[in-house]
Order: sequence, then C-alpha cells, then structure tokens
Amino acid sequence: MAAYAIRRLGLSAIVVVGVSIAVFMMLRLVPGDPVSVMLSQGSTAQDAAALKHELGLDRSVFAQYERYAGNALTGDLGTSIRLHEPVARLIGQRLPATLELTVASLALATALGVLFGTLSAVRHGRLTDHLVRVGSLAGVSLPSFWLGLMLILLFGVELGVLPIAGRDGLASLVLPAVTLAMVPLGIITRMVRSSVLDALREDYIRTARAKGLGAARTLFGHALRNSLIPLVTVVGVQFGTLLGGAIIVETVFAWPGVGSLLIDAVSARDFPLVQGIILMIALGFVLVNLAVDLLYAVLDPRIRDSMETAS
Amino acid sequence: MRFVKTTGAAAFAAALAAAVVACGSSGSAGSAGSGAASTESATAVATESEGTPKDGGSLTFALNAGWDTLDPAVSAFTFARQIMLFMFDPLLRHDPKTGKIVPGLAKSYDVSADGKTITLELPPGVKFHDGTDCDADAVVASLERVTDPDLKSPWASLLAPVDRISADGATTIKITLKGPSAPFLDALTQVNLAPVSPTAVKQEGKDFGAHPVGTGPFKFSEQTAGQSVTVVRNPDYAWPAPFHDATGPAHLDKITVRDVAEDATRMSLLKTGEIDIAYQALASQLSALKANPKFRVLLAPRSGMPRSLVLNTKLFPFSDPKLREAITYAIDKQQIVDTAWGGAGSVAGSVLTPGMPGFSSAVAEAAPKRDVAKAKQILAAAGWTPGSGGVLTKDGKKLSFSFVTQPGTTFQLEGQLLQAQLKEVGIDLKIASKEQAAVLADLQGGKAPFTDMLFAATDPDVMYTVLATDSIGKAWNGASYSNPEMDDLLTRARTEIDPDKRAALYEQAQKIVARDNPYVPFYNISVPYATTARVHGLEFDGQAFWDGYSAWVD
Repeated sequence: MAAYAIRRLGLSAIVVVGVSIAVFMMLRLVPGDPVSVMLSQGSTAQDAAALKHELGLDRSVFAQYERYAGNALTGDLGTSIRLHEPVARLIGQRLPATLELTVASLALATALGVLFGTLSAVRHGRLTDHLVRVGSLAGVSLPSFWLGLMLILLFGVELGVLPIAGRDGLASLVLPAVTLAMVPLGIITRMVRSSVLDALREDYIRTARAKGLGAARTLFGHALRNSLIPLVTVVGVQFGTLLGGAIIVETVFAWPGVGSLLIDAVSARDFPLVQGIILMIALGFVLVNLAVDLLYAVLDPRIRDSMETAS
Repeated sequence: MRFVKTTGAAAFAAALAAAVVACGSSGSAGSAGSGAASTESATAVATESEGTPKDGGSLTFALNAGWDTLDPAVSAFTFARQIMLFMFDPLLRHDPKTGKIVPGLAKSYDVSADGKTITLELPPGVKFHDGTDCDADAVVASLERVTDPDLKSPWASLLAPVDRISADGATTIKITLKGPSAPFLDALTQVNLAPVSPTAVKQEGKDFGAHPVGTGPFKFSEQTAGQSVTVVRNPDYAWPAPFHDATGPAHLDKITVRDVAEDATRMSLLKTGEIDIAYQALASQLSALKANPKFRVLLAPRSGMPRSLVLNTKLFPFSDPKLREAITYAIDKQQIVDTAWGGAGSVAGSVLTPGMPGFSSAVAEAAPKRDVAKAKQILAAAGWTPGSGGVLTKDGKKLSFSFVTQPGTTFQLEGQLLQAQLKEVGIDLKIASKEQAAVLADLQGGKAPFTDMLFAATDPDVMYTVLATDSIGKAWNGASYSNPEMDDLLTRARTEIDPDKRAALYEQAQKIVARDNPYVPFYNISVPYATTARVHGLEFDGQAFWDGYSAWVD
C-alpha cells in the first residue's frame, strides 16, 4: 500500500512538471504577447523592445523556462506582468472564492446526483426514471454561460429573489453554484443510476432479499454501498471539470475567483500568472485524483489486496 | 464578451490555456496621449443635470473590466484611471464642456514665453486624506516618484521632457523643460501624475496601491480583490477644479465600483437596480433603454484617433495607394456605425476626433462618401479586371485578403458589413478572427494587411504614435506608414507652443493622411453609459471618465 502510494505520488509529480512545461511552451507559441497588450493600455512612449528586455521575454524560451522552473521550485511563482503583484499572493486572494464555489457545486451535484440516480434506478422504466434521464441529459448538454444568464434573468431580474452577481454572502453563492453543478450533476446521476441498476441485479441482492432484508436496507446497505467506488472516481474527475467550468461561470456571475483571474491573465498574455494558476489547478487535480485512487483501496478490499500483491 | 468553450477533463490544461475572451467594447489600442494648451478642443460631453443637486446617498458603478493597482504612478490599466479619478486630483484638467486644458488641483498655471518653464500654483490648505499637507514639496515628490527607476512607472515617459522640478515656496511649483514641449501640459492632466501622500508612500511602500491616499473628492475605503472598490466622501474637500464652479465636498456619500465583465450580467444588474451605472451598455439594448423612463443612456465621446481601418502600406494589396483610395469609396461608414456599433457616436472623416486640438473639419467634411462606381473605376484604372466569380484579378492574382478582427458580435458584424460592401466592387474579403492580444500584436508588429483600431488620447500628438516612421514596430503605426514629410510635420508640432501654428501643422498632416489613406477613419466613438433615473450630474472628460464630484442621486 505504501509503495503504491509512493509510486502514484511520483507519477503525479511527473504530470505536474509536464503540465508546467506544456503550458509554458503553449503560451509562447500562441500569437500575441504581454508587451503589446500592456502598451495598448496607455503608456505610449514606452518602447516595446525595452519592455520585452525588462521582462526577460527577449531570451530563449529554454532560458526562460529554466529561470521559471528554478524559481518555482523555491516556491516563487514570479510576479504578474500586468498586476505587478506576486503570483502566489494573487492566487491566494482569489482561491477561497473558487474553492467555495467548486466545493459547493460538487457537494450539490453529489448529493442530488445520488438521490436522483438512486430514485431513477429504483423506479426503473417509470415516469420518474424518464424525467431524471431527460433532466440529466439536459444538465450535461446546456452550455453553462447560457444557463447562467437564464438563471440570472429568472431568479435575479424577473423574480428578484436572488443576487445576480458578485460574492456577497451565502445567497450570492446559489446561482453560480447551481449553474456550475449542472454538468457534474447530470454525469453523477447517470452513473449512480446505472451502477445501482447493475447492483440490484446481483445475486447478493437477491440473497439479501431472500433472507428477509427490507427493501430500504437492501438498497442502502448493499446496492448503494457497492455503487460507491465508481461514484468516487467520477466525483474525483468532476473536480477537474469544475475548475475548468468555473472559468466561465465566474465570469458570468462576476465571481472574484481564480477562473476570472485566469481569463484576464490569458487575454493579457500575463505569462507568470497563467502559468501559476494552471500549475495550481493541475496540482489540485492531481492531488484529488491521487486521493481518489488511495480511497479505492480503503473502500474496496479487493483493490487493496491486489495492490499488496502487486507491490 | 465571448467565450471559446472549454470542454473535456482530459485536455483540461490545454483548454485552459486557450480559453479566451475578447472585449468587444473598448477595442484595441487605447492611450492617454499627451496634450497642449489648446485654443479649442470640444471633447463634447454628455451631461445630465436637472434639478438641484442633493447631498447624500450612494451609487454603484459597474465597469466591464478590472483594474490593477490603485497607485497612480504604477497602474497601467485604463479603468484604474477611472477609479483613481475619484481619489486623486490631477494638477490640470480638461474642461468637460469645452475639452480645453484648465486648472485642476493647481488653481492656476503659467507657461513662459519660450515654452520651457511651467509654473503651477496650488491653493493653500490642501490636505491629503491622511491629513498630510499637499504643498509644493509633496507635488514635487510625487512627480519625482514617477521617474524613480526603482518604481518602473509606465508613466515615466510622460516626464521625459522635464529637466528639473522644484518647489518655490509652499504653494508654487516650477517645472523646467529641456525644450519646448507642446504635449506636456496634457501630461499634467493625467491622473497618473496626480499628487500622492508622501506620508502614505513612505509607510506603505510597494503596497501604496492597496491603500491609496490622495487629495480627491473621495477617500479610499475598501477593496475586494477582483470584485469591487469602495470610496467614501472626503468631508474636508475644499479644492474642486475651478471648472466645476462649486465649492465644498462632493454630493455622494459613497461610490462602489464593481468589475462585471459579462455584458448581459451588467445589464441585468442595472435592471434590478443593484447597480446604478453600467459602463459600456450593450449596443443592442440602447434603444430599449432610451425608451424606458427608468433608465438613461449617456453617450460619452472618447477623443483621440477615431476607430479607423488600418491599410498596411507595406503589404499586399495596400502597398498600392490606388487600392487604398478605392477602399475609401467602397465602404459605407454610416452603415457600419449604425449596424455594428449601435449608432453610439458619429461617422468619422479625419484621423483626429472632432474637438481635438488641431482637428480639421475641412478634412473631415471632404472625406469620400460611398461611391461604388468611383471605386470600381479607380480599381480598373489600376489594372484590376473582373475574373471568376466577379472577383477582380491582376497578373493572375486575385484581389482577396483578410480582415483581421476579434471575436464578438460587434467586430464580427463589422467584418461582415465590410465583406458585403467590398464584394460589390469585386473584392473578396475574408474575415480572420483572432483574440484581442493577437490582434494587438499584429497591429504593433505591422503584420496585419487589413484590420481596424482606435486610439484614445487627449492630445493630437497621438498622430505621432500612429503615423511616425519612428512608431513602426515600437508604438502603434499598424499601417507601417513612412513619409518624411509627415515625420517632419509631427516632430515640429511637438515643439510648437503657439496653439494656432500647431493646429496648422496638424491640419496639414491630416490632409496628407486623407491623401495617402494609411488609415481610413470611420467612427468617432462614444462610450454608452446606461444609468438608472436616480443618477444625475455625471460629467465626462475626453477619456469618457467622470470624477464623481458633481454626481448626485435622488
């Protein structure tokens, strides 16, 4: 188990380094550079070439990466080109808002997903099942910026019951969290539905019922519990999707998180800031998935055993 | 704002790095420029003031983009300037009604006959929000701070003409220039050169921008990163710029500025009254808002170089001046302004906006109107003959090229209109959409054959930035235009102190632009502000910003 954990940790480190290289190179391959964007903001007489030199952008990409990686290893993510502040501080300011949003969305999606999915499986083939299936398909398919704007119009403008934008208390969290939760909710619902359906067909369920166990205890104690493993995987993967989705949702709802910071950073070609945020997201994604893998072992003795055999 | 949709968890990093937005609103290059003691410059203004101003109340104002730091000397953001205008007093101002340079915090100014010495006179008793005296020494220290190499101020170049700055007594500042500089007075109107509290600068050091202290009508109260800034009334304010024609503190108790990038969200906030003022109201909603008594639409003209087509004089097909001339007859400016830009503003004829010092109404009026027959005739005379599909050809080469523009309804619509208009004369125009940063890089590097840009400025020296040979690759000469005659005129205009003589130089330069057509100006932009009906007294300057002093609410 320990050896497995260490191996997984090593692989995760490689992924993070890989992502940092890919992002670094991609940013410099995409047309546009921070200098022309900066100059467009008004300081006209400044010389583009001089500014590039000052920012170290006139060096080779490899020399730039070497310097960046060296600093990053010591925890220095650099200074934002356009915001003039340390990248770590900027991310620190915005991260709580993004975590609040993604955790709320994931909790919502998981709770409702398990509920709807189970309901749908139990009512297999009936109206409830059809409604849930159509609903989850819609959740996955609706573009979040459209959904967000529709929710704003309905609950903010027409009904006037919820704040439209900004981060100001729990009420302001509702619309962005619901919008962001839609895609994972659809995915989790469908996954729970099919895995509960599968479980309900298993022999041990029939045995449990034959032994006189009630429907509820069979469902919660046996069927649902065995559906947990795929659920954990899906929730882990959805965490990454949520961080990506947060970029759009945060912009629609003027939510002051890392996503909206990233959008601005990309459009201004603020290299250090984009690199820092992506690195942080990659790290978060990798850590969550590492946790998921390790959680498997805890949840499923078969996996634990196979790991021990393997190592 | 438009999104490139990002999907798929697997390729998430790649998708994130490619997620883009393009501000369809404020467009490409924007600059503060620098200015002159002008005879006239009517950066006309949308003012709305009815009834007697009332004191008290607060107001929320949503911008469509964020800001960096609120340290005037350090900030490079356009919108930071708007927020800082509430808290800092520029030494000189542009009168919102006439556009002329007038006293600001300095109650008077004087330019010596040789144009080399500028004397500013402060009113007595000016204090920063922290109680520190704003005397001549504080002003000198503030200006010297901008040129401090450690600070790396993006505004240091505004002070490049300066030889020496000194305090002469408690309230007099003398600025000696290396030589006469016509744009220098305009530089003093920039909020980026406004006095900052020396006490706070010493205390806060690099964090001054997080706790800004100025002399303005409002004091900094609080800031939430990425979300909002709140300023509250400065009760001790007794030095409003003379053009305000008022005394005492501002009317409003509090102004909250929010960053709401998504256009539709900003408009929704306005409808529910969560915000009172929306910067850059959606073009498509302007007429509905105007018709609704609960709202007002104010158009704030932004001076500088109008939105103009950029015809790259070094690239196919616009290296041929005849082709550039043909374009001026082929396009329908009015249609583009009305359809793509919601009619907010007017059709442009000269490379300077009306009211800018030196603006030539003669050149603007003589600008070609749409004449398809004439355009065809010019092209035929240049040897272009109709080929397959009605597209003109010459020496086996098709007259086909790309219009480089940004994603976003407005820009796409502009591209499609141009496409249809040019098709009528036999030109095959393709639309190449790039993200804003890429368009800017193309412009600056002179790589786009055909694109558009505007340049916000309050001084005609903006022409140097977009037309001088020296500006190719370095500044914003996106047309790669190089003409010694033009260089000479623009260089002389920089040192010509006499406003009339200076205007004559710019008149000549505008004539040359109209003859050579490296740029085809088509749209004098106005920033549409939408407000709720309770808001009054907004006065906009040439940068389409307001200082908050005269604003009040019901």
